Amino acid sequence: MVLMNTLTSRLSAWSGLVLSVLLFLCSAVSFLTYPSPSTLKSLNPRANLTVTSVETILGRQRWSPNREEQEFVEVRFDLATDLTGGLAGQGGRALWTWNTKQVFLSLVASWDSVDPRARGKGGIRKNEAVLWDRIVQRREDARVLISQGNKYALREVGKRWAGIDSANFTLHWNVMPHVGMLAYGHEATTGAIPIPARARRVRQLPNGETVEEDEEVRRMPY
Amino acid sequence: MSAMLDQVKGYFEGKVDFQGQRLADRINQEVLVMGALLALFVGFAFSSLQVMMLIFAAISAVDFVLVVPAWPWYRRHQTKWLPNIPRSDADEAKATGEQGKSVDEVEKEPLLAAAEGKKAR
Repeated sequence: MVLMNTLTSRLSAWSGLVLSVLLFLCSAVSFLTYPSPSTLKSLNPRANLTVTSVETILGRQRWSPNREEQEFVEVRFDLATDLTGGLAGQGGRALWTWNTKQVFLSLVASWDSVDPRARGKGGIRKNEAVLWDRIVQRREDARVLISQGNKYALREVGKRWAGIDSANFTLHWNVMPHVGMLAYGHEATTGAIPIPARARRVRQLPNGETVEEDEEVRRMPY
Repeated sequence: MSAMLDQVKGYFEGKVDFQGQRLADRINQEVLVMGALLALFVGFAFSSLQVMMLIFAAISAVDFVLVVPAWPWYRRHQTKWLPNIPRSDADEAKATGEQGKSVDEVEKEPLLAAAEGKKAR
């Protein structure tokens, strides 16, 4: 039994119990609303992610301290998915609960590249870069129907994409609750999409020879 | 003036008796735990975290009013203290000072004498 003889000790006992009970309430809510294992591990069969065009360009970044000339990959994609959940019992995805504060969607490109420093993994380094993202704060905004290019630059560490054959594109989601643990999962993925070589201009010299030249260095919007 | 200050101090101390403490502890625990469960169920029913927190805050405030101030129902069973046996200071000084004993030894003398009396019999 807690000491309750004076006003201050009753005040202390009351506030201590309020905080302990509040802790219990918040953990109960977070246990009840954490996504189920099936939601966490599965892909959504009704989501549609297709990559319509991939292009490699020589360019220079505008809004970055790194203003070097490097190769950028411009990707145009179509994404159609419904993450509002609908009725969870009918196979909809239960991402939106009474404990969901916001959902973060990101389209991630992942590829392998040769790295002599990655000795433990056979010289292969795994790379991931976010092309597009959306912070969904209202349930209605979780219906995604877009057809656009990448929002962020897709660059390689080695500044050239010549050594990389293809990349996979996956849509990741991340549920941020009001109370509780973060939950991560994938929604849809494409297979390996080949990355083309950079297009070079072919010019004919006056003496009949042809010369391959780089196109002009483009100023990228990111 | 000092009597009024003592009364004010009494209000701020808010002392209650032992039965009152048990009652206050019980009311505190039961109201808060049941209030939390109620808040959880109602919040689940309305699918709103805000509803749950508001209900719990309201019940906590009610519990504060019920438990923290020194209400009269916490003072119903006052402890009955035994009457004080008056002992003059002169007697105490004589008993301890002359024979070099402490106050506790002097107070135990009648009890020891009664015990020896029983043994003799």
